Amino acid sequence: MSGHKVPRLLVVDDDLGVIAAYRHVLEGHDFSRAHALDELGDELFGPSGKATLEDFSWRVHFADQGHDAVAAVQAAMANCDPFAVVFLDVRMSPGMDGYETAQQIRKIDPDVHVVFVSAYSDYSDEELSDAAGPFDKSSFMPKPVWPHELRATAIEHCLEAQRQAQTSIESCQGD
Amino acid sequence: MNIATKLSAGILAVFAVSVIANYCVLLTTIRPQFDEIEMVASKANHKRVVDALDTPQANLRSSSRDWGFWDDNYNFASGKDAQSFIDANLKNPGETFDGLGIEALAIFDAKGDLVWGQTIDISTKERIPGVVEQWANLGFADPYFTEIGEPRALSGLVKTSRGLMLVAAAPIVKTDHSGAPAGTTWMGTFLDEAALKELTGVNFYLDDVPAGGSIVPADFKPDISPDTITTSSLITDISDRPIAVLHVETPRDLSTAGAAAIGSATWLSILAAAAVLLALWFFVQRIVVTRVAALTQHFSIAGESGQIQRTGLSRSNDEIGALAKAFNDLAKQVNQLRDVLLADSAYIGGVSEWATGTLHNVRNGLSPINCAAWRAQSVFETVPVANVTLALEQLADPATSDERRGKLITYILAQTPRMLDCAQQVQSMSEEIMSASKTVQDMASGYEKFIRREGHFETIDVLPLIEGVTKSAVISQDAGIKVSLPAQTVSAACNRTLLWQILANVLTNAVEAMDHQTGEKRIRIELQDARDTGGQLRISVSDNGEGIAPEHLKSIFERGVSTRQNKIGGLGLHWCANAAKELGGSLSAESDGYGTGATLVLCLPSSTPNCEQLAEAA
Repeated sequence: MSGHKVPRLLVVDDDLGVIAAYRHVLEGHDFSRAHALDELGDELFGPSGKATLEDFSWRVHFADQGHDAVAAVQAAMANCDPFAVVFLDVRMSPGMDGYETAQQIRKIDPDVHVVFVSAYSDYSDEELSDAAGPFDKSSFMPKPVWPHELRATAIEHCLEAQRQAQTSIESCQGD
Repeated sequence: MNIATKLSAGILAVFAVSVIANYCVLLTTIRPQFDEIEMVASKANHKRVVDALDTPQANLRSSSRDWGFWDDNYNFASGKDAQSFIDANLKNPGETFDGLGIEALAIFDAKGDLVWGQTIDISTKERIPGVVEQWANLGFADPYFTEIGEPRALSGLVKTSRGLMLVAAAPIVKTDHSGAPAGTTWMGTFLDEAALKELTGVNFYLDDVPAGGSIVPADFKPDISPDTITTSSLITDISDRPIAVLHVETPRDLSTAGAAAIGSATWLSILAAAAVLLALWFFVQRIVVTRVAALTQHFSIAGESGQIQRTGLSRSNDEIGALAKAFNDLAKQVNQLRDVLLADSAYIGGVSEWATGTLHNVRNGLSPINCAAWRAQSVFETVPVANVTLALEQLADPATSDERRGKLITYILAQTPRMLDCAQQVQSMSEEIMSASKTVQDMASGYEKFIRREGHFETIDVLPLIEGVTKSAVISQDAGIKVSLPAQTVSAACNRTLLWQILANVLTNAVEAMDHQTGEKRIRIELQDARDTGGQLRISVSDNGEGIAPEHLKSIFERGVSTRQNKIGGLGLHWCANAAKELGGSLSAESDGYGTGATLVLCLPSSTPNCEQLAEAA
């Protein structure tokens, strides 16, 4: 496996509307054709200097149940293609809630960063830590999801994961 | 101390005072009357005895006068015709004594010498010597008689060796009372106390005159003892000198009987008082104390448990019944007020939980809006609008070279699909935003209706709703639960949202009740039409979980009681019961105890003939 793999994101939420929101922000940007046209535009009108989406890509996997998420993490670890970050809804129905799902994930992947996402505000740092491990491996993001915050968080943890990727992959290959 | 004891003590005190007062009145008014009557009787008895002593003396005086004022006796005392007088009158003294009713006769001459005298025991007819001789020593001298102008007889008691003797003495003169007294004629009879007592019916005795001191009548005050009144008087001898003291005893039968009557009356009063007191105690105990105690216990139970129940003591028309009735009215008011408060409390709790859920849903609902808007903006930013505008302006400019025109046209044509795609994506995003906004608006609107209690009643097809709730609350949570749904649907008149939340809560409780179930987990939902239940739709949710103890079948619906370990998103059975009530129905539990499973029964109106009435009832 290559150390330059595109980072993977895992989004877990039982609300299909929220899943759709994630999709709007995290996937579906094909700028290849736009880049060609931009070159013609630059020739005709000069460099526009217009800001575009961050030049950062990732692969996103979606799950609407806790056990699906756990299965996905299990498969990713088996394929030595772990997730960089998991966006995990806290209260999901039916099945496991976010805390239990995080515990299961943490048992499988000790390095993945877990971002708890919830529209409720009755959480505590202790609960998050108990469920998802140390503070530097878990954080909280309140709903509603703000795209810039979501992308910034995703990019931050993807970069962090990339910094650790080489060591992790080597370790995986050594096994 | 209870009322009966206090009342009895008070009445006992009144009766005691009454009895004592009555006793005192009897003692101070009736008893003195008895004493007075007895005193009069004792005086009469005394006089009767004195009269009894005087009567034989009168006879003796009469006989002594007959013999004293008699010529024959005059001659005999003078010493003349002595034998003939004896032969005629004294030859058989017994007969003479019987005729005269005397026991002793003595004739003294003028010198005081005994001329003839004899004493005979009247019962034995035997002579008693020495008695009449003693009369000569009494010291009666002539002067005694000579001082008397008119010859007369004297009488009195004298002491003899045989006891007291009643005697009378008369001077011996001629029949015509003329002549100097030739002597004295004495007649006497022994004092027969027993005969006198029998005659008078009075008990008396004679004492010697106390030695020394003067005896005056004032010294003889009645001697009053508890049993007798003893009156005393001085008895004088023939020369009017004190010779004995007469004591007459009158038994106090009257006062004794009176005292006994007073005692009996007093005891009867006490017995009557005791009987009245006992009857009153039982009466007060039965009519007042028992019922007051029952009321007190009822109040205490209500105070300790908070369950203010009606009391059955209000059936009587007395004051206690009125008190119980007033309590029942108060209990009714309090219970109604508490129901209102509980309903409000449950409603406020529901509002709070609903608000939390609504905020959650709104936040969730805002995520698609945010992200769709961001996506629309991002997509639009990929279109070089300014360049396309500039290209169009340059194409319109005649000074633009053909080569550049060609590139501009190529650029515009190339950008056109991109712009169309962008427009479609933006349109799609707008639709998503509109849809998500409507969802958020519906959430806010639903919450607003809830907090305003604008229960929207509608006729609901129950089975599809049950299927939806079951899928969400049961099947999705635990795929291992076997759910049995009813085969046919029925319609109910209620608020869809409330019914959904009630059933979701009930089903979630059923799922949790089977957490520790090792065997097959089963939930059975049944529907019964109003035709089978008498007017109400009945939705029953049964599980084979841990069950409910009989004593908890009602308390699980009380506020603060939860059967759920995880309260996430739940409103609790208390809220559900109140919500069912608001829907015009009820929620109840059935179970045979732990380990036997449980059934929660939701009853609802079966249709909506008049939604306004139902809303008003809610």
